[in-house]
Amino acid sequence: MIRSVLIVDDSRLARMMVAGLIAERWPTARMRETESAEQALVAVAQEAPDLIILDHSMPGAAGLDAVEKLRASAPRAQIALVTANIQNTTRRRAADAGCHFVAKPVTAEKIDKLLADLGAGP
Amino acid sequence: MTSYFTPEEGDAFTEIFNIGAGKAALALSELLDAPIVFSVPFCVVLPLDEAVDYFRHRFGADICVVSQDFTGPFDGSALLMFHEASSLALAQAVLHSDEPVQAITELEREALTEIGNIILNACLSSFGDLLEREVATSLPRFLAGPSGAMLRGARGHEIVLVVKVDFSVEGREIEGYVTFVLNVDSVSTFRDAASRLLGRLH
Repeated sequence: MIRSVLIVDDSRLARMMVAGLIAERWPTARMRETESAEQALVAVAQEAPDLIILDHSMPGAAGLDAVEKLRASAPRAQIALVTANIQNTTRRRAADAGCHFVAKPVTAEKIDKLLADLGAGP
Repeated sequence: MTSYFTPEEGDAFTEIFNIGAGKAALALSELLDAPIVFSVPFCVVLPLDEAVDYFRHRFGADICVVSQDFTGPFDGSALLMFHEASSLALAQAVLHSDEPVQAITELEREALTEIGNIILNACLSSFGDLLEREVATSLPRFLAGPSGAMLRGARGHEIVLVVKVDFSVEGREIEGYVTFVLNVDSVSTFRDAASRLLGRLH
């Protein structure tokens, strides 16, 4: 059961799109947003979310480079890397880090597939 | 393709960019929630000074650019270049806005930056995947100004790979260019990518 979601992306547009799609599916989910991996680490330390939607290319630390520290604070959180960097090497690194991979832009179909993969479909 | 590449390698580049454009078109149609017709009519390699003249004639006034530096198998900058009018049309299509606007707002700049991020990454990924190497990219930047200043301010500074991209969205024709500004050292890596593709075909 996913009750809380943390969206980490430096693009306001990208955060708006993801937040809108998740709110349509889980109106009761608690949603927080941060603009960087560093802010995400602070947010996760305050309260561990069930799902972290994580951009890769951001000012400061890259998303994939922050996965280990995020897991240390939120060991049970599922992490989905959401990125325009669709290279095979990035997909492999995400898989090696135990992250789900979603190619930008995020669509309703991709969110539904992610939720199904997480076993939390609507 | 000038003396930097053979005609066969030039054909291979067009094909590599067609693969990238296909990924970019899919991503854009998802972003716009509308079908996109996307094509790469040609690509050409020019020394920097000739590229500056080429774009001065085509664009004249100021342009909008989303730029990303890249490092890895090759180093340089990728620039997505549009007329300001095309940029506005594209941003409004993404934001599903019909309001007439004269100037780009902050949210439209963000929308264009995200579009550039998606298109440039799609093109770069087609090279990285072919070479089986990772292409590291910087954060996308949105810039507006004369095309010459954009090209001369890029990270690479010797040759420019110019790729024309045309697409139409809901009846709106949008014309733009993806350019890669490279150092001569990176030419051999691009040639390697072309050879790999040609090797698969032969």
